[in-house]
Amino acid sequence: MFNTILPHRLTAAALAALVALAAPIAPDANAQTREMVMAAPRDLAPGAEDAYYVSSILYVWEPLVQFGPDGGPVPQLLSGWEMSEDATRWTFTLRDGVTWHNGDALTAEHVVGTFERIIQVSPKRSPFYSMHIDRAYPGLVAIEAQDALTFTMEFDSPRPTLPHQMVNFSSAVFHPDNFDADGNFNDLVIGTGPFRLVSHTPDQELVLERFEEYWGTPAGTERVVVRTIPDADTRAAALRAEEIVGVMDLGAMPPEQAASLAEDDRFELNAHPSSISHFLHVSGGDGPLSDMRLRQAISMAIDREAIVQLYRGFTTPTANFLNVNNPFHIDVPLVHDPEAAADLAAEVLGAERMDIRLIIPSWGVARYPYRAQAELIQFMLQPIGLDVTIQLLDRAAFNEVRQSGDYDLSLSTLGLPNADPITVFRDYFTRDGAMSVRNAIGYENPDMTALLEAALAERDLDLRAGIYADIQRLAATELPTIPLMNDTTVIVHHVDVVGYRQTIYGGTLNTAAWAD
Amino acid sequence: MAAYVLRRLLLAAPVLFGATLIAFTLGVVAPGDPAAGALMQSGFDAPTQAEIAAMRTELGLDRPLPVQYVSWLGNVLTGDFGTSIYTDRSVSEEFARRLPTTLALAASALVLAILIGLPSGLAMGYWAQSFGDRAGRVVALALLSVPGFWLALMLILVFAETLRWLPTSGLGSWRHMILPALVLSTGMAALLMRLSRAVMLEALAGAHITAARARGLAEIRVVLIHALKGAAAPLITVIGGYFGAILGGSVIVEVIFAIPGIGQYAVEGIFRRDYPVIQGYVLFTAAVYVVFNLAADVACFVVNPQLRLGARVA
Repeated sequence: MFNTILPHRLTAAALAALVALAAPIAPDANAQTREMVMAAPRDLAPGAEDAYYVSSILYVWEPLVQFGPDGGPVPQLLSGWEMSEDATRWTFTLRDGVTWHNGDALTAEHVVGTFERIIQVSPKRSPFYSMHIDRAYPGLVAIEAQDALTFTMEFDSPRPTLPHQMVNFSSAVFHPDNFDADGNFNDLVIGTGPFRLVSHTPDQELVLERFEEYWGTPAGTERVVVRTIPDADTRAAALRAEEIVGVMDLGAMPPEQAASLAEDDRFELNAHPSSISHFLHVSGGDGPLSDMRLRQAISMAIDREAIVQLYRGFTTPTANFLNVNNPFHIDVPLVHDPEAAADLAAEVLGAERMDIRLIIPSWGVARYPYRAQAELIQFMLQPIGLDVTIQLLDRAAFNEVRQSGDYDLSLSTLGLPNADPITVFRDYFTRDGAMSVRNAIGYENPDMTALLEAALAERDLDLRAGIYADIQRLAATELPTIPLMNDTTVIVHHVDVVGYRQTIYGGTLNTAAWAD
Repeated sequence: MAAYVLRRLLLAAPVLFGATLIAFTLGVVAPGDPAAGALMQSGFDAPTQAEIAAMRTELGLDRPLPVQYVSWLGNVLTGDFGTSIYTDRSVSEEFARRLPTTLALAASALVLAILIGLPSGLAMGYWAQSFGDRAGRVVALALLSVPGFWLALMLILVFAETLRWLPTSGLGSWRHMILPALVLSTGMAALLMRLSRAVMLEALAGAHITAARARGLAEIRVVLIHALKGAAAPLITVIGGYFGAILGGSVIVEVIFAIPGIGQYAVEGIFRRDYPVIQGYVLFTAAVYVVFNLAADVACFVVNPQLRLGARVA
């Protein structure tokens, strides 16, 4: 009896389970018509303890100064600025009619309050950019409100490039009532942007709603949900399943998946050069690559165009340290000459071969085709007498090895914190610069030091730009670090969404709208 | 019974103490400076050595290691696992927030594993050497061999991307739990299939089963009551141990399916060298293993008269 009954019961149970499973998910009409569901690889709202609460790419808060189309500074919450003759005092005028999400009008006192908080909490950690008054505003002596819409900033030395330094995160403005005694946010962030944050479930999703009293062009859609999906394959699957209609943030769609999605008529790709550059950092000091000729040989031996192909064309080759999106960037000719590279290397190595250790960070592998890139470099350097061993390290180990100098080459990126390159120049091109120490670069050249000092002392912006150009040329010759490519951020969105484009930093979520 | 539980609890104490020591030591010997890491979260920041030194002081990392350990242990005993070096948020609160999600996932996986593995394994044992038995053994082997991440991606491809029966990722409804629970349950389901098949075979060969059949008891009663009674103890032991193991397995599943559970938190903590998070996770996992093994032992103690007798003798 048991022999005959049990199989039937099991079959019935299995069928019942299948029927239950087979019922398709009822499409949420509300989500399709009103909510625009996007996804990002990380939580774009780290929350109350973060320096900014949310990333700038969500358009909740706004900076005083924003990136312009050429990467230079343009006023966002400001209507204008004026520099004193000695470049130590700046007067800023706020845009009139700006309203906070809580209904208050933006005033100069609010801006002063924001800066007082920056001073209080510096350095404040953030996964976007650290908030640090001494790095963003070195030599700031005072900031004062002059009237409802005017405030001044005074410095102990000339700051002719101050607006460049204030771009984006550096001049994020928040409502002073939004902070507790420790300088942390006391509630959901209050900004002035076209979207307001209405809810946030950490590491899961956040919800934005259009701020109807926004001073500028209103957001293109009423409600946006941004889900956190860390895995790139899952993000691509969510797009194909039409659970989400777009992606955002750095590394939102790795080149391989982006190229695959591009073959699907339902999706559109949009790419824009970012402020991030790719480098082959060189361990300097007394290391084997301290000889400039070897660094030059490596640079000439590398076929950057071939590496770009690994990125499916979503990067541009460069020989310049400074990112192409910086307004002070100059063109530096690319040289790929394997024969000349071999001759130059032979001057140093003679008939010997040299073992080289190339380290790559695990976090980079998740975002870029670093493994293939490292193997390609290994292949390209073999003919000039360099035998490269590749080592993959996780973030912490990678940082420790880099700082110790126990490596020869490393794949690295650099993002520009603002539009004035003097900070990164000094970080890399002086022996005690922060990035020089962090990467054990150890580069030092009296000519470079003199140029850096001259740049800092120069009050005229055009003349300073000329010095910046000289610095770039010298760096391209001496190669304290070997530039490879300017990065491009790729976003993918459904064709039902219009007006969503990638910019230097983030996408135009504010203008994204439903096609119909 | 109470004495047995008490004795097991006393034995668990040094295990947990050892876990705290290992958790703390792992954080210390692992390469990487968490103070520097905290200041360089974006990967683009360039803190000075003075700023890193100040951060080390702020985080208490400049104190002697024994002092750090005792301080950490003291806080742990009060339920305070410290503050994340990266997010500045309480680790205990994060665990509390994420634990229900991971437990729901683990429980779903456990239920699925039992529903799939136990009946099929028992049926395979009952109808040993039949076609179904042979096919079942192949399936069990396949389930044990398939990597979890691959299975996860395949299930997403089929059930979410192509058929659109289930969501690809995230939380929200019971449907969100099906695919991750299925992935997480496969190994255990396969193990249960093999184990329950073996215990069924062994039980059916027992003299008490022959006696039961000779007494004219219904076949279903013979199998479900007499045969399974003897098989309960090894099955409970395996299932109890599995619940601890599932936490480790949930790490990959939570990342792929975008489930903000403890596994995902641990991965982030490990990548960032976020000591308090790593230490909290190791200790938490150890505690779960201890608790569930203890629960399994107690359950075996209850269902197995021989164990009870042994305990009295001891």
